[in-house]
Amino acid sequence: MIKPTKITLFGSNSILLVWDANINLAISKEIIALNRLLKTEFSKEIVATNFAYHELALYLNNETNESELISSIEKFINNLSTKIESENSTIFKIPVCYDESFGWDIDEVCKTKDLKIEKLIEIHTKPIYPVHFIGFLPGFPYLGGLDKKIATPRKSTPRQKILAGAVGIAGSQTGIYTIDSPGGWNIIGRTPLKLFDVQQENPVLLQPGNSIKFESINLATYSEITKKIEKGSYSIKKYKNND
Amino acid sequence: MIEVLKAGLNTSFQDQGRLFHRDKGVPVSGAMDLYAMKLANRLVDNNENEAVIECTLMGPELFFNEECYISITGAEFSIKLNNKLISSGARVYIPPKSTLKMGNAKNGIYGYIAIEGGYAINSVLGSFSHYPTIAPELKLTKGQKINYQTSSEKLKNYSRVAPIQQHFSSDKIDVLKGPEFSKLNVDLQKQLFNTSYTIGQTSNRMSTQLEHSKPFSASEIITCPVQPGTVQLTPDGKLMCLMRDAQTTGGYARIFQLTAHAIQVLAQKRAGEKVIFRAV
Repeated sequence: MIKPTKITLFGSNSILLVWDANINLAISKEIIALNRLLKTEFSKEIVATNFAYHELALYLNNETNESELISSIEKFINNLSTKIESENSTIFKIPVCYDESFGWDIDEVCKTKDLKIEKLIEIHTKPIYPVHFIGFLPGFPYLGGLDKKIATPRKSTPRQKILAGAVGIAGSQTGIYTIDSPGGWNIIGRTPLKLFDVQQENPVLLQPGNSIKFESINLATYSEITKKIEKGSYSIKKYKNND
Repeated sequence: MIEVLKAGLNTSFQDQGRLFHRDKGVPVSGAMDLYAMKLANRLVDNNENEAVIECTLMGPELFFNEECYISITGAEFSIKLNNKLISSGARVYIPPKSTLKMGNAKNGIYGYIAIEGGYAINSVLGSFSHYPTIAPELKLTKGQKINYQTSSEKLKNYSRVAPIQQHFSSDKIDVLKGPEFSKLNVDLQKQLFNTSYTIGQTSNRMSTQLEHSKPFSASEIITCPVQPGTVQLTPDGKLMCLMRDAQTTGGYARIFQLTAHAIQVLAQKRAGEKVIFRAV
């Protein structure tokens, strides 16, 4: 396994496990697995956790002695078997309409990258994007694997409001806005899917360790899917990948 | 039943927050001044973490149809019960058909109204704290009706007075070093403690701006976890402390982490007030 390079205090009442600063799928998989193991092993001490590309934060209950817990965690990690088992990842198909009415910046991105719209869509829909973690907004998936050919810097002036479902590119990242929010991403399309829904028992559609594949749909299909979702009759397409 | 006659500036239900959903990108939220919230609850014999009404600068006007006991803590508002001034920091009997006007805060920002037995409201993702896109219904709006249990024990005949809330007078914000503090050059590290900061106008439940005129700067980082109390320094010198509604991850250098106590001290500082950091 790839052990964290250090474990430190993160203010009072929380602990930070740190790996080498990198956007690296192998490290993300380690963090996803270790997060699960630590929450089970230290369920009395750990109230909640969250993680990003190369750090895992543990939020503790008030009675926990942080230094003692750090020692216990170091021992626990040292005793773990060397191979973290990676689960079969589920791949979600995310329908996206790249029509100009949804892709507010798609023309601009195409001009900047000197690509035709069809080519941009082809490049964006080709990869399987792993979900590294959820952050920034409720349910917002940080995705890896964007093709460098369409990497585009954030807009210099962010928008006051980007609508939920907007699919965007910011630097070398691509992602989907899960709720209405201000933001500086280049918006190239929109999905009718709700990635975050408080009404659902599990409010977040995508989990770290899943992957997604974008699927281009037209305006008519977008309306169809929206109606089905409102009725509760839409099933998201997904399949397993033997990685 | 309470009827909201006037909602006030930014009035919402808050408790200790959504503690278990950070890994879904859900902000913790919760009362900005947790100390005042817990005090308000203790004054009416509630569980410490019972939901309270958080008032911001300009408080609401509430009509109480039935009798009850409430308590008010936090910033000092000019509170009138049935047009008579009352003081905060004590358990107060509210007769049937009463009107409570919170008025404006004379110092500090956030005031808290706890009701004995709690408000009859629904939780969202395990918490009664308002957050715009997750639990919009937990913000108080004009005309809203809120139920509560009528107090059946009128004669709990003891006086309950809160201790003086020290954190309003202090200008010292206690901090621990953040994950990126050691990457700053030594001179900048010293300067951060030798500077007086002015609370910025745009401060809100998501973050408090700490204005200064020094040439501070820190490089961006790969997106990392952050929490309420994390102080970020941007490449162009902006210094801000993330507060209760802050997002769960961020890409700016995390140079300090406020202690739990320091968060409520900072929460009650108004725009224009000055603070300094103190290392603990």
